[in-house]
Amino acid sequence: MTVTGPEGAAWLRKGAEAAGEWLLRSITATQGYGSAAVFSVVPAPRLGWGYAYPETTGYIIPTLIKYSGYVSRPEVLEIARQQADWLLSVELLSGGWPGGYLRPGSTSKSSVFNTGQVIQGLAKAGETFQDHRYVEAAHRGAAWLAGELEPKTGKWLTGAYVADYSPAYYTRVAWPMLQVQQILPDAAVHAAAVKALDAIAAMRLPSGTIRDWGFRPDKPAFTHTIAYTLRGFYESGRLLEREDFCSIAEKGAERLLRSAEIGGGLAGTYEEDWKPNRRFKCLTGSAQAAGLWVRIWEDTGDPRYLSAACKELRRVRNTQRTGALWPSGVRGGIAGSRPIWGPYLPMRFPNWAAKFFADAAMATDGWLTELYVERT
Amino acid sequence: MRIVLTAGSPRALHVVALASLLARSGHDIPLILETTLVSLTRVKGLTRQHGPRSLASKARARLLLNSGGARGGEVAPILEFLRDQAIADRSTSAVARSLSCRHSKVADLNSASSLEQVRHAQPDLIIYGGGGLLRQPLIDLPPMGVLNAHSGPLPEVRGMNAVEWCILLGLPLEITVHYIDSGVDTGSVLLSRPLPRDGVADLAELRGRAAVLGVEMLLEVVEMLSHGAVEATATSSNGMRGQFFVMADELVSLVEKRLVGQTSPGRIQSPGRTLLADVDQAGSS
Repeated sequence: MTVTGPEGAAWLRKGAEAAGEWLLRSITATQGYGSAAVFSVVPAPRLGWGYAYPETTGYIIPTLIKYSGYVSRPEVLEIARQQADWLLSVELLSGGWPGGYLRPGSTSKSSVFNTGQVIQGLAKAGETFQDHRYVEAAHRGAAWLAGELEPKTGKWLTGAYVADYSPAYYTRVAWPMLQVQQILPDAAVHAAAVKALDAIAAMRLPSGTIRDWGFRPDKPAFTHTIAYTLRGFYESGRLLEREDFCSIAEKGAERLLRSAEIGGGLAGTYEEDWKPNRRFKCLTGSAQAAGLWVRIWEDTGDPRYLSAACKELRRVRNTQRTGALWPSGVRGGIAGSRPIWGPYLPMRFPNWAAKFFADAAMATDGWLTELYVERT
Repeated sequence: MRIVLTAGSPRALHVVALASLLARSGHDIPLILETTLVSLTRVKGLTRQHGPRSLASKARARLLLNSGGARGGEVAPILEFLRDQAIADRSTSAVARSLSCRHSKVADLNSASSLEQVRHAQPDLIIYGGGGLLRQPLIDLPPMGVLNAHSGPLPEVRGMNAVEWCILLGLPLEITVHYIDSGVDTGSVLLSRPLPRDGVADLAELRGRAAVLGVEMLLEVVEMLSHGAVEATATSSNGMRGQFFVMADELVSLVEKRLVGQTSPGRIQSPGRTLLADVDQAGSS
């Protein structure tokens, strides 16, 4: 028996590999101490590779682990382990991780969202490398998060990007907490995650959107944070076997799918009534939405989701520059927005865009290859 | 019966066949209303629907209409049907000339100019032969409604690429004649019939066969309507999945392979629990 991929989907593999290599270069750019947050094509705030970003380095670890197998390069696993070690070295005394980029000499308070993303990476590293140091650190982070949650409201009001603002995309903090507590059971972590999710579920509006799922209150949300919110609900719902959480995510995902199919792709932002802003695309959010659709396809078998993921990923891939003459931070990277001067991270290539594109492209390529199984 | 036909292109051969055969049966065809191929609104809409690359390849295929390309394969069954029926016309304008009926090009079937022309034609019935989504004012004009032949079972597979989605989902291939209402393929069903796939060479040929069967069924329904011998069945929301959209090229290739038996039942576990089991059945049948 031979397994062959679809001839027409070579672009997915090329795109995933280009993004994977970009991620590796983002780590080389910091001498191996974390993944550089962005590559900027303008001098402000800093031309070229930026500083290391603990938050996204955290969730890039599972991407690197997957990528290592995808391209059959065991040395990438070592790079993933090196990132986990680096994250241990920047853990704060609280048990959390700092917000923002790590500039030399910078000090920062623990950040709720960033800690959530870091512990996801450490939990995966702990599982993959069977190294208890990573799991224990992830647990310290999860315990700190549980302790910071306001018990009455189920909100995190400290350690936020915007003071006193507890956004709905914190579902993507609850999900890693649940992942960690599956490895190291902790009733307090479990209870806090569920409380946070229940509080966010209560913020759902009749339109199916969720109040405060953007970076700032009362502003249209980038597709990026919408996808964060929905993915957090979906994965938490699966772990907890809570259909209500999965249903919120599935309805939102279906709404995004319709928007992409009817509108020729996802918009850059959506308002609370789903009114799209199509003057730009938030490429990170597009890749994330494609990743969510592939997950829903995996669980439901509804091929419309796989089809929509292929089309949205192709739109993102069409923006990716892979020629050898492009600068190292542009080649294989995914810009914040299309056009590149759009409002989400203008003129910059964030590492999380490459991460989410690589994740979704590898998953989609994997499923297409499975579907094309041939017996000879 | 006075019947207005719509068309999405000058080479809509199914519309040519319908117009000729309806006229032969004694029906009056006062107007063929065709959307212009190149209008900003249409190109914008099609680009959104198909994406620029897929649209460009479809446009290329159309240009290679009779040169044996994919579109050529799709057109072959309807060309054969036209020859069998001794219909010499090969374009909507040619058939309009032969029937001495008005042939009008509009940018949008729902435009004021289009509505005015339909009003003036005073049709009993409109048969939709392509040209974009219809809005309520146009749908409400003919007293007997607007008919469409959809290439899939309703209400199960509503929307685009119905033949392809049916194959992927392992659903029976069917053509359904239904009334058009304000939803997408949600109107009452008048007639449905299986679409045979035996001996089919490729997807293009199957789509061509679907077009021929659609023509035959529409003619049948018009005869039944003119004798008051047909009852419409309201579509139930039971079994209604969501709307289907243009299938990604990667999945179309898969459908093509399954259709000609190049893939055998796979080992797909995760999504297979529900739908892929059906897909495997379709692949092995």
